[in-house]
Amino acid sequence: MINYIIKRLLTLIPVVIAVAIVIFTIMYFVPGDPAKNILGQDATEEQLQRERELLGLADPYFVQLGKFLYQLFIKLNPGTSWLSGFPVMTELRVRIPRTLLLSFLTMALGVAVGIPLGVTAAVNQNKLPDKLCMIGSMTFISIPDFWLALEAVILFGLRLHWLPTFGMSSWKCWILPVVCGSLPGIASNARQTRSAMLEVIRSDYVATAKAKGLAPGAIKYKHALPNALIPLITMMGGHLARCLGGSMILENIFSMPGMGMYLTTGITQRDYPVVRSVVVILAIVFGVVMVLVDIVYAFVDPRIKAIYENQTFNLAFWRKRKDA
Amino acid sequence: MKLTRRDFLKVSLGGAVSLSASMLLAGCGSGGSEKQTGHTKIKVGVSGDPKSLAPYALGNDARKMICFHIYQAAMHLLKAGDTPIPAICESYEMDMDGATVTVKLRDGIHDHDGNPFTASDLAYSYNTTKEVANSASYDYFTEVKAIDEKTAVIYYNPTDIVKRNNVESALAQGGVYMFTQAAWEASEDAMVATPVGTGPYRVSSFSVGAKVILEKVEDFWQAEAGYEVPRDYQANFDEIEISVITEVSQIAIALETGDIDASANVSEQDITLFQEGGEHADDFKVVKNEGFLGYFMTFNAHTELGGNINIRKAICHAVDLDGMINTLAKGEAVRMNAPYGTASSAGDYDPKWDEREYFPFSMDTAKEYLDKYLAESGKKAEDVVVKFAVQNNANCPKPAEILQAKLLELGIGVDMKVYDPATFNTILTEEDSYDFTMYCMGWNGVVNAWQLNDSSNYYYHFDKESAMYQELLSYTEPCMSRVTWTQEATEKLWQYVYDNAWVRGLYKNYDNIVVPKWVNEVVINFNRNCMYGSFVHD
Repeated sequence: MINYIIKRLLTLIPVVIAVAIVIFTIMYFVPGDPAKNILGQDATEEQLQRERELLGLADPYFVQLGKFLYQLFIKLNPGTSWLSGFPVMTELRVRIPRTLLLSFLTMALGVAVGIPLGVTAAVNQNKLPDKLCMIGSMTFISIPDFWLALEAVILFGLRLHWLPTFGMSSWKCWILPVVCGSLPGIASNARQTRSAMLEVIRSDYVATAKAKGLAPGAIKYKHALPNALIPLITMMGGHLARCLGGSMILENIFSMPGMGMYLTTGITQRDYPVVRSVVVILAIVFGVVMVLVDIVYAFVDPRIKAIYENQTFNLAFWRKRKDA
Repeated sequence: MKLTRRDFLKVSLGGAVSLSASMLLAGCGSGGSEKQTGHTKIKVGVSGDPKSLAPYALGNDARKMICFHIYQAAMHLLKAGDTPIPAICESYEMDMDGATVTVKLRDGIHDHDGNPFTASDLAYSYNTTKEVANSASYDYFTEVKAIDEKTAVIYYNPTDIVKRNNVESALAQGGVYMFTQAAWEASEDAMVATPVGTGPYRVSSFSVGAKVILEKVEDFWQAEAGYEVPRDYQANFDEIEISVITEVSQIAIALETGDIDASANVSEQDITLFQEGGEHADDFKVVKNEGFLGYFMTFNAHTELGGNINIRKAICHAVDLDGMINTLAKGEAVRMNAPYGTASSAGDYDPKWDEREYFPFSMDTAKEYLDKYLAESGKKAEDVVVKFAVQNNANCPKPAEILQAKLLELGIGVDMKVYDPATFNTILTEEDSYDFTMYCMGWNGVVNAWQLNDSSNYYYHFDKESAMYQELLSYTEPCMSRVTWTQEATEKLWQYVYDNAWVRGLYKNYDNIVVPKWVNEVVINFNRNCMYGSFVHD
């Protein structure tokens, strides 16, 4: 199992390097002159040229790429923001926890509410709770979260004065972004859980459990739900990725200074070190989340664990053969 | 110990719950809504993230506004185009032959930490800024040397010192803020979050991307030494709380909910809520201030259509400026009968230009010029398609659409493309990608506006060897040098530009500053930044 985890983590390395090369190449070809953004419109051509040289933009593509990869992966230093002069890593250290917290809370709420709703809908198939859950899910899947966020700001901030609408100075500031961000997740989790549960509750072992006279709650949560979790875990990995992406919109709407806000201002101002670093870090986070999802499979489903262990065995066997 | 599937689920759930709780507690920090006590404090909303408060960094309006509260420059300007008044320095003297500016310091200067400020600190501020920022913005000087405790010499690039306004604006603009060597060396973060300046406010708290709190410096050196403090350096509040609100529509909501007291970043759509007759007019008022940004059209000399005077004049006369101003700014904007506005810091703006006829809107005149072009080129109107590059900002696309409609009415085609500002800058450098453009810019004056033409040349794409370009230079060069400049020279340049329709000034917006009713007077500095700490209040 450990070998499998190490192997999966090692496969992340080429993925992250590939992401770094792709984002570097995209930013290289994106129109917009960072030197002009820094110096302003009334800079002379000589000044612009000097600024480009200072930023390393005058070098050929491969030289720039080599310097970028060396700086990022060998020196582990993504450099400083061209516009603020502030080290990117220092800023990321402050911003990453905020984005991760927002994404994690959004996902946690989506799971904590969405799964029970889906279970309730499944065990009450075609009854009123099922219909209410599914109508609610369709509604929240269909509504764009940014629109919902703006409306929530007007209702809960402006009209009712219940909640603050921007910043992160108190715990109340997190309520609107987390709730607005999690509603689409709640909806999709509920739908997915319902469909997975519907398959499982028709299984023989559930019928056996019922025949044994087990309580309905025990059948639902101890026997049926764990078996319905596999597709849900896959979806949760994607959900966290979506939360990280969606946090950029939420951070901008609620003025929460996380990575999303940092990335969007970096893009508009052509602050390449910021954009490249944030994208690479997001790629690392996504990669790690996906590895975690795979590991979780093993704990939830013994069949998958057996496959992993088999892979481990094969790896050991291959090593022995190679040594021989 | 074997971990069963059920154990794993239990542990995961428990872990998730406790991790959420701990992250939530950690993320919430020690904030909390603070009670406002009287009017000793003002809460301000800004739309830009200041990112760094270091003296060497360039940045947006929010950063500049904050830095003007924390730091001082060598000299000070009360308003653009004025003669500099003393700040850190008592006086300055130019030697254009030697390309030097000699500055004399005032007495009793010290920073927020009490470190005395001498000429060597001034030299250190300049030289460190140049070295650390490592930006071409500071190419105008080579180095600064302290002569004695009160005197320093700034060595300029010879070509820069003769350019009009370069010396005054460089001394006062805040491109180089003053700090002591002792404070710089003691700083652990290069003053990014914990700056030690010489201005009337110091930073008491800085949360990256979220909030900056400034507190009044009780022993501000200028007041302590008995100097008259200029009104934009007077600290009339004990505390300024600056919140970063990146979503502009949220600024109006924050004002309405009382989370902030004032802001200069309320959108045009929301401003009516706070104006007379608006929903919140009882609590707020809107102060209008002529903005720094001007809106313009320029033509590309390289393309056949942009380089043709009849096409240029046809387009200039098809501009329904009143329609644009009514649509966009509800009739409230300053018309610009020049390629720059009254905020020109070069001081070469002539108010009599306001009275002049300036490309009066007339579709008949536009048609006449178009017919002249069609006659000389042998083309049909429907074969003429002008490429129109528009900068995507809050104000350009709508007027551009109005102009597009008028040009279509003339019978010519318009290939209009709207670019985000960073892309737009690149588009301007491509000589075949547009015939004319519409954009906004903070002009410093006619001198700087046409200096572009001489150096980077990227708006107009003139052939530098052409007679047309040489003729243009003969008008611009006298205006660019403080040795040869006269108002008459500027007047001649204005006339030349108008006759050839190379640039058409459009308008300047007003900046709307929403303040509570208890603020009696709003103070704006020469750089068009709101000096919130200096607001006069009940």
